[in-house]
Amino acid sequence: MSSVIENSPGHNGTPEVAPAHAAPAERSRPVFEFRNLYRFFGKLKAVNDVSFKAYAGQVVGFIGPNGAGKTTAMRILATLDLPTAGDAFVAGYSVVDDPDKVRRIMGFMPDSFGRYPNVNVSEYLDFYARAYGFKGAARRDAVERVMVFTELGKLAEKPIDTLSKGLSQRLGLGRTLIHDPQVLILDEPAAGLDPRARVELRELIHLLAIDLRKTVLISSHILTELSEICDSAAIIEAGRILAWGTVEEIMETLKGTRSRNSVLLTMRVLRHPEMLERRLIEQPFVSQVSVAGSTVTFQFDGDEESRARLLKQLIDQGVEIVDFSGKTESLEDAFMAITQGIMQ
Amino acid sequence: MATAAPPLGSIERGSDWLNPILVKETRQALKSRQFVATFLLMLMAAWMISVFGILLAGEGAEYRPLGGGFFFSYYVVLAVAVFLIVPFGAFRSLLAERDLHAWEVLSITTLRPRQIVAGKLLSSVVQIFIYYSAITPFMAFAKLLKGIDVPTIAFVLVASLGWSIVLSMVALTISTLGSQRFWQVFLTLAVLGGLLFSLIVTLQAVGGMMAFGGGFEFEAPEFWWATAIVASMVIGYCLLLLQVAIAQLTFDADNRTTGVRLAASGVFWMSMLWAFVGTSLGGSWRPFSTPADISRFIALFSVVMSLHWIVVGLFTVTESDVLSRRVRRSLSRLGPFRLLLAPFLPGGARGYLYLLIHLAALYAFIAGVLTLHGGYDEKIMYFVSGLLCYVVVYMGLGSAAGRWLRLVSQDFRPAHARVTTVLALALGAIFPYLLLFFDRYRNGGDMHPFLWLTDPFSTLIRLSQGNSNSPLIMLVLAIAALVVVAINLRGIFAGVAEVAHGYPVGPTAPPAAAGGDALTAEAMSMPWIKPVAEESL
Repeated sequence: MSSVIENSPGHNGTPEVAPAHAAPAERSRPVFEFRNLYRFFGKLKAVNDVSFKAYAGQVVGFIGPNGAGKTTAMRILATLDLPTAGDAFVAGYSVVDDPDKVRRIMGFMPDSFGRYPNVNVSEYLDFYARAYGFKGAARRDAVERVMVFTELGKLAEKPIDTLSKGLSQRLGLGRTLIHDPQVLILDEPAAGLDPRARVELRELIHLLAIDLRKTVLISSHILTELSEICDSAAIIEAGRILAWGTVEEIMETLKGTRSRNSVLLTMRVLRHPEMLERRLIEQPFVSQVSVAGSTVTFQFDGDEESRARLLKQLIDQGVEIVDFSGKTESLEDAFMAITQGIMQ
Repeated sequence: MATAAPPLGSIERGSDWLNPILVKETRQALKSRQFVATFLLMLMAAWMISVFGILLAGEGAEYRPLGGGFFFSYYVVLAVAVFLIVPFGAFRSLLAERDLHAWEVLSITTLRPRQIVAGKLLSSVVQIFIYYSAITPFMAFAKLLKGIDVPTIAFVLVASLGWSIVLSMVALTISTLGSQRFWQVFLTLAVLGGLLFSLIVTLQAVGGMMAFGGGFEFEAPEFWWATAIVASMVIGYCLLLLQVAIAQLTFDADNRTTGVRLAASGVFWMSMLWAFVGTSLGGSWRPFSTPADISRFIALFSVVMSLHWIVVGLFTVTESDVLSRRVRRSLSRLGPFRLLLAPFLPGGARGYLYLLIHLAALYAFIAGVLTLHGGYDEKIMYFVSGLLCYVVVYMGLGSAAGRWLRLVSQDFRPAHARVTTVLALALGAIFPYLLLFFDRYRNGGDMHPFLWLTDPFSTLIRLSQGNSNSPLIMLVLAIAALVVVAINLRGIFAGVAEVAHGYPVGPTAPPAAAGGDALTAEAMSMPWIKPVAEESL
């Protein structure tokens, strides 16, 4: 399945992709779906005909520049905003018509959330367990389950307004999980976290998807991070979905838009990089040559034999090559290639 | 080996049945420095009043009635806590809930806005009781000093408890009105100023009562009648405020209106009931001994009720007419009664119908009471009729203007329609004065009464004073009211039909979305154009 929307509509025009590890029944039943979703603020088209769906156990990255419409679409899915037109569904329930049912099976973690004064970790989770209608032993069990999962048990008595950013995000994730939702909507959960906290958060999300079969929609600016967490992604710009599918599919599509063998090559030379630049420009299959210090980067569209010939030819011409490597396309490259930096 | 969790304690089990907000807020309050400091300062102040008061009184404490003075001193300490600190704390608490970005995650739990507001109010009540528990032993001490009796102390404390709850409710409602930083700062200052003012006024009232002997006439039935009327009206308006606060915290697409309309209607009917009881009472205590008294009371009552409906009407008639999908879905649950409930459902046109029904009831009540008690006075009837006509005209213009301007631009919101209505009234009141300014040089300022018609204030004064032109003025006002009702009739019909059919009819159907060049009706998925498939995914 191709991942660019225009080329690969699913039924009803909605692109779809199921995780490889999904059972057949799960593959046929999306856990959440955006269906021709629009959200306008006056003349600003924050979300403009967004459609995609996800299945159980899938971690979907929602990627886009600032103001692309990620948060707006997520807020609609979380029943916090209403679409101008279209609809979104969680486990078959419309966010417009059945918000109460959606809220029972969905957890939303915004990019920032309030830290009440004079409340400790266990009281905070206890409050949200009560707010979701848990009573007695069920409430205590829900709090304990979340504290075990997020490893916040040792900090149960710690006031939440003294927690570090990483621990706060962990608590926020715990709060989101308190009613054991099927779908988790995480808006920039890794923003502002140190590397260790990021890795820990990544592991928690991985556990949620693989072990607990939660479906996660996660937005982030840290694309390397997303490529490690997500098994699929949706790239949005100016309110429109530009690409959607598994990360591999998006990469394949990116290659398809260039050339089947296209690769980004980097050479480091001992001296005279400008001479290498001149020689490269004259070569076939070479484009987009750029020099930064002693490193020259260029796009090469030839096959592997052509690549070997080029290297031999340059060495024969007396270019003193210290390092020669091909760069693998990343989600970041895909993002840069697919988006155009459109500002609304 | 896993160990079994200890059984839940009785308090823990009992707290399951409490409002979650109340549990959280009480936990927070008991840990907060502000609460502990206030409690300790209260105790310290009351203790110092007791010690230094007795020392200053010297031997006089044995034979002089010092209880009133001591009671008032303790009351001042209590009043600062329950009339200032508690309501302001309630205001800040709800404001902070929204300001801290905690509101969003809270609003998608199973907690309803009603529970959230009630929880905040209940936590205020808990704090009030804790402060009361600190000060009441000192007040009992004041009773021992003579000069004040137990019923007076009890009445003042109960009335103060109610007043503190009212202030907390008002503060909570105000805190829901502003979501932008500027408004929050403005509202904070306004609430603080208002609470300080109410504290001073309350202390003056209680202080004055103490200075004049303090006793209430607990044996007089009229005292209890008056207390019952005031208490029920205060409770009624508190419930209305509660509904307003709930509406403010409810999502736009949900039904934010019915609760407010029902509460406003309830207060209105209760007022009429009390007015009827007041004018019908006989025996030893009659508040109105002559028909002329009843006429004057009815005129005042009509002004108060008109003000009630102007304020309520400003919000109800200016709403957008289209029922949201969520509200439409709930209509099916109402079954055959939904047409009867149409005036209570959201929408400006339905709001205008709601207003007309209640104004008609008010007019019938006034005419009935005046006829029944022989207080029928042509001047009073002209005044009341003119007043109600003005409400019908200006509210109707606001409703129609909102409907028309929304067809021009979807950015025209109910708040804009409210401002338009108020501006129309203000311009109507100013317009004759502009005419007068130019006319003065020609006719020496003696304008024909008809030229004053757009100004309700001067015209109503004319009607109440009696004038040879009154019948004609009244006729013109009645025709104007009928014309404005006729202008709104199509919208009202469409609004009622929408409830009957479950989809918008005629002029209430919204135009295409602004800037929606890429949107077709199909793409908009508007159910009245293309029904949404209830597809099971």
